[in-house]
Amino acid sequence: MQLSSRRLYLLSLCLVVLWLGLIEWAPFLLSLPSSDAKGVAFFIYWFFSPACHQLKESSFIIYGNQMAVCSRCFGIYLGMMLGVLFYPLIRSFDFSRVVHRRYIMLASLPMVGDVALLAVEAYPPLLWLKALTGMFFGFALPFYVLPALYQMLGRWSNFKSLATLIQTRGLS
Amino acid sequence: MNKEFYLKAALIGGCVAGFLSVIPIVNWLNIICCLWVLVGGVVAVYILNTSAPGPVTYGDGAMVGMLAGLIGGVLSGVIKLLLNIAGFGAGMVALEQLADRFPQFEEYLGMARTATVGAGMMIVGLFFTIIIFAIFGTLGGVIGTAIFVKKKKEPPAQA
Repeated sequence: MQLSSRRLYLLSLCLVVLWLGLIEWAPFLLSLPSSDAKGVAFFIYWFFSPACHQLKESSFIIYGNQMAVCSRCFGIYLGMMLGVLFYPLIRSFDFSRVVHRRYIMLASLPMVGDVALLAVEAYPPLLWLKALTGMFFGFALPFYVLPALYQMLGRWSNFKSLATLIQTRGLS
Repeated sequence: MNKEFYLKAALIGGCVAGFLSVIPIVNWLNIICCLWVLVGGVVAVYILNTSAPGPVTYGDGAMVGMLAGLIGGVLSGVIKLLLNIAGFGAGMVALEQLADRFPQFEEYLGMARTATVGAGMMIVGLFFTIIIFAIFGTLGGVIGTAIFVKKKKEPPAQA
C-alpha cells in the first residue's frame, strides 16, 4: 500500500485537526447538561491522560472547563497543525527529503529553555508562554514526521514481512 | 534492511517504554508528553542505527519507533492488567487520578469498581494505551533519527 504524497498530507491534516478537535471538544461536552455528552467527555479526557498530567492550573480553560491537555501540550499540537498546514507552502508536497536536523534542535530550544527557567523559578508559570514555546517545537515536527510516514508506508511490505517473521520465529 | 534488526531494536525500545511506564514513581515522567514512550522510540532508533549495516532513514526510525511503542503499550497495559487482577489495583490508578482531577467523573470511577464494567474499562484503557504509545513511539523514532542518524546521501528513488 503506497499513499500518494497529497493523500498522505490530507490524511495527516485530518488526523491532526481531529486530535486538536478532541482536545477542545472535551471541555465543551463537559459543559453540556447531557449525561451522554459527559460520558463522551470522560472518554476523551481518559484517552489523553497517559500523555499529559492534565493539571488544571497548567491548562487553558474554555467553556468553564480545562482542555483535555495542558497548555504546553496544546501548544505542541497546535504547532503541529500549523506545521502540517504550512508544509506545502514551504516544502511543496516533496516528502522524499527531510529538512536538516538542526531545525528540530533549534525549535525545541525555546521549550527546553522555558522548562529550565521554570524549574529554577526564574519567573512564574505563564500558560501562553508554555503554549508559545511548545508551538515552535510542534511546528517543526511535521517537517520530519510527514516524510518519515511517507517512507514508512513505502516500507509497509517490510512490516508485513516482519509480522510473518514474528509468527514463524516467535519473539525470542 | 534485514527485518531482524527492526525486531531487536523494537523489542529493546518497547521494553524500555513498557517497563519504565509501570515502575512506580518513575512512570510519573510519562505525563510529560509520554516521555518514556518517546525515550523507547529514541532507544529503538539508537539500537537500529548501531546494529544495522545499512543507512537508517526517517522511515526506518518511524517504523521501529511505532513498533517499539506498540510493544511498550502492550507490555505496560498487560502488566497493569495483571497487577489489577492480582489485587494491586494498578490499572485503576489512572482512573483514580482522572477522578481526582475531574470530580465530575467520580461516578465513572464507582462504575469501574464493579467487576463487569471494570473489566470492560480495563480493556478500553489497554486499547487507549496502545494507541497513545504507538503514536508517541513513532514520534520518538522520528526524533531519535534526527538525533542519532547523520544525514546520508538519499538512496535513489524507486521507479
